[in-house]
Amino acid sequence: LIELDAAIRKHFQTLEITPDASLGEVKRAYRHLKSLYSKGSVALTPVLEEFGEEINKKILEEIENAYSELISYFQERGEQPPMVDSEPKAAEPRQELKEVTGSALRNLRESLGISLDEIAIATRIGIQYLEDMEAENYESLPPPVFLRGYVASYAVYLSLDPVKVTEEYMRRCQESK
Amino acid sequence: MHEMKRKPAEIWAVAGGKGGTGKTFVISNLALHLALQNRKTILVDGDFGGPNLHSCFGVKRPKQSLTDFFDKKVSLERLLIQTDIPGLSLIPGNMHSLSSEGIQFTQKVKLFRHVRKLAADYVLLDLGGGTSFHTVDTFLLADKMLVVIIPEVTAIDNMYHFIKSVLFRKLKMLLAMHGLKHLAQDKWNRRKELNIRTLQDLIDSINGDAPVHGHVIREELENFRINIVLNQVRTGDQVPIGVSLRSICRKYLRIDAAFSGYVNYDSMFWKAGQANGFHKTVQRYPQLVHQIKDLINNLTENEPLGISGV
Repeated sequence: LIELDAAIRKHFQTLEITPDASLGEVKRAYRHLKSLYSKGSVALTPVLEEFGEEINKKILEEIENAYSELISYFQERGEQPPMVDSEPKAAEPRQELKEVTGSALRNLRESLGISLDEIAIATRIGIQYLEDMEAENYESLPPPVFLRGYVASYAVYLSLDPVKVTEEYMRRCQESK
Repeated sequence: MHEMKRKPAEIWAVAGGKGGTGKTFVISNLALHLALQNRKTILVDGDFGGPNLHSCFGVKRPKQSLTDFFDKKVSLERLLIQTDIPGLSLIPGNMHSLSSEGIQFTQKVKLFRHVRKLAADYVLLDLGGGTSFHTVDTFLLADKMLVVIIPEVTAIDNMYHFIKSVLFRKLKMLLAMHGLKHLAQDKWNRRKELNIRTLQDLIDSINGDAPVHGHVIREELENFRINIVLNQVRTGDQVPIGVSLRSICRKYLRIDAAFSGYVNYDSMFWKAGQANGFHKTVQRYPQLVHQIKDLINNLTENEPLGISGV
């Protein structure tokens, strides 16, 4: 197990999740909190009236900061070579797909509220390639030796099992030819 | 079997702000299902808000109540009424029995001491609505503190008000323990000149005068757990309100709030339960049974619902 540094721990705490949370959980927590403290809700109205907007603004800033710090934290780890044995719990794939197709991947990505831009920046994969991956435009995609790595990075970003997803995606790609 | 040492009974108290949030409904169901799970349970009616409670559990209107414990020193064992559900008994309350000013704090402490010795696994205490000192004090004595809330803004406003009263009282107790008894009250009285608007400002201000104690007190409050139960959920999208309430309690009040579970709204259940008895009625409401079991599980295992479940 990797010792988490105090700052990262604090960020998990701000998003009200445990440090073993997956990337998907980080995103869900962030979406809920952001919506709660920016759009307001039946739960927030009474405290806003009492405490005023100022504290709320500070809370929102903390949430935004924690989220962006955790995203880079996950990115740094996503770029590490896959070490299945020493993989910390937080990186364990939590999402699963019944069938690995381009559209299934897109649906999952959209349901997690993740944009292609976001993945492109995080994985340094050109957005056109990401679009082609989801659309299964195999002709436009790079040769398998590169594609494999792209699919794996994409899968990691969606908290999917990269080995399983890559295998199935590549097999599908082969079969279509 | 008197020699057999048993664990002292764990006391759960339900209270919180507004009336009509279903406190009695939730706690009666908790008691029923704990008993059905072979956990000896005693339901103490400290509110008497539900005068039909005994009939729901198939018992006659009681002759003696907690008043007799306080006034006539009648033992709690003698007040116990066995229901038609094995492992579940009741102790009837009396009008305002625990929230009335006639009952001193020391008497309540005594009550809790006796309650813990009862031959039970769980003692569930229904404190009813209101935010009186007496309700708050009694609430604070429990091992688990539950607030029952419905997804409505006035009820939620009342809940925050209640939790703040509880925190203020808790803070005063902590300060007294650390020999700073009058500091909080004094600061609160001078809150305008000291620019104290919230409980947090107050704690910060105390922190300034007594940093060591301030630190200890802050930690105690951060570990201070209130268990939120969301009742009368009508649509699935209301469930995340529980997570939101938890978040606001954590971020604004800085306590360890937990979202322990939720119960769907069913207007028919209560009526049917009063007419036919709880035990029979509940079996016709499998979803309710499921939600109460989840609630019990979350409370006993200390595994509340998380934000990532939303």
